[in-house]
Amino acid sequence: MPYPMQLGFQDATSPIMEELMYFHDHTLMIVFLISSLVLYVLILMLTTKLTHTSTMDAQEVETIWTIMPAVILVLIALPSLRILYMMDEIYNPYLTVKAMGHQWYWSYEYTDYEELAFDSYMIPTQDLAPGQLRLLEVDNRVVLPMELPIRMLISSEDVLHAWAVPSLGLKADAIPGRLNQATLTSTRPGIYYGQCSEICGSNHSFMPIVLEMSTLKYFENWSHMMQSSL
Amino acid sequence: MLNGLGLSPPHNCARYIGDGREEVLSGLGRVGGECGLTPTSLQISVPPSASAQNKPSRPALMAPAMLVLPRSSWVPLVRRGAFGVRSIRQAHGSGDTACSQKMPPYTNYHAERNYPMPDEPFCSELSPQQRALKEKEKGSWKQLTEAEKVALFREKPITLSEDWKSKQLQRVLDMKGNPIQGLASRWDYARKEWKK
Repeated sequence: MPYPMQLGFQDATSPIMEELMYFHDHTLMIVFLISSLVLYVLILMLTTKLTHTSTMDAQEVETIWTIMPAVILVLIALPSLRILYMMDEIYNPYLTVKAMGHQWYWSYEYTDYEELAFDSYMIPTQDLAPGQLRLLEVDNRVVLPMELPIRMLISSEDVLHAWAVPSLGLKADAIPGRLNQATLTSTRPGIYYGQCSEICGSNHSFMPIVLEMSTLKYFENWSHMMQSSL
Repeated sequence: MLNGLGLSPPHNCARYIGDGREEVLSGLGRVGGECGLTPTSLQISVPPSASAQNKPSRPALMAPAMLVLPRSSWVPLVRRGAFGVRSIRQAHGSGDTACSQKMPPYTNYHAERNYPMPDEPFCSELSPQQRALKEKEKGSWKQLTEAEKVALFREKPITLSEDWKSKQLQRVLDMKGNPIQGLASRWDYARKEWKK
């Protein structure tokens, strides 16, 4: 979850998010280099009394500063496309979970083995237990087994929503009448928070997503318990 | 919104308490003619006393502000179900279709742009103590006491109190939130203190 005075991303929980963090570091470094170069030249230009009014053409430097940006853009595009295709790889998911967006809550369906479906509403501020995170806790968390690839099918029952969990590097639009697929693999157990990321009405800020990644045994016990109690 | 100080509200700003009835009520016939609006097919349930006395029909659930403001400003809200207290699940029923009725706000705040005309209406006539407070507000805000600040503006959420923040931090550390480079990575679990 986010923490106070955070400057960067939340720690990566899935391999895709790790790749995205490396890519972000790489691209941001290029951006900082270009910006500092431009700023330096700007300051030089503004702080000199020398003038030069007779420049006609400068073919050599013009060539350089046309070819260099093209090279830089290629250097950005190659890792970017690599990650893009990596995100779309499907490698035998163990489980399929459907996340349906409603106004203003999410509902999840685990229909592979049993018929398990439940709603996940945000816990209002006045009902929080001490120590819980405001506007992020839900009544029924999405419990999933860790270290296994899981397929998420995301759609909506009414208007556009988006299902996003930043620590896993996941965001997919929930579009009514369409199924969007995302694969999820968590490398460590824990509780991971996300929020609806597409404006969907007055309570758009109040429909969070909470994933609880745990061992396979715990997940099986939980799904059996939910199935029998719902 | 000056009730926090214990000052008695002016007579035309008495507290309105909803009673959770489901139907949206409005005097459609008279209002429609007055504002030139097309009547909708909402269920009308007029209290028997009003019809027995042949008074003009009014919404049975009325905020006092409705007496002060012109009808054209609050009738559209009445039609859309802004009055009356209902829970989120009740409003959605089985959750099949998008519901166009207004929902109560999720937070404790009573002044929200997406939930106009809340249960505590804004007052336009102030008592002398309230006016004195508004004058004090024009000066330095450092001189306002906590109670006066609450009376003028809304309260901070409970989750910003020191007690809650420490419990929240403990919970995040217990669940090892961001253990690689973030918060939990800076906590020394063996010595139970922040890493130096």
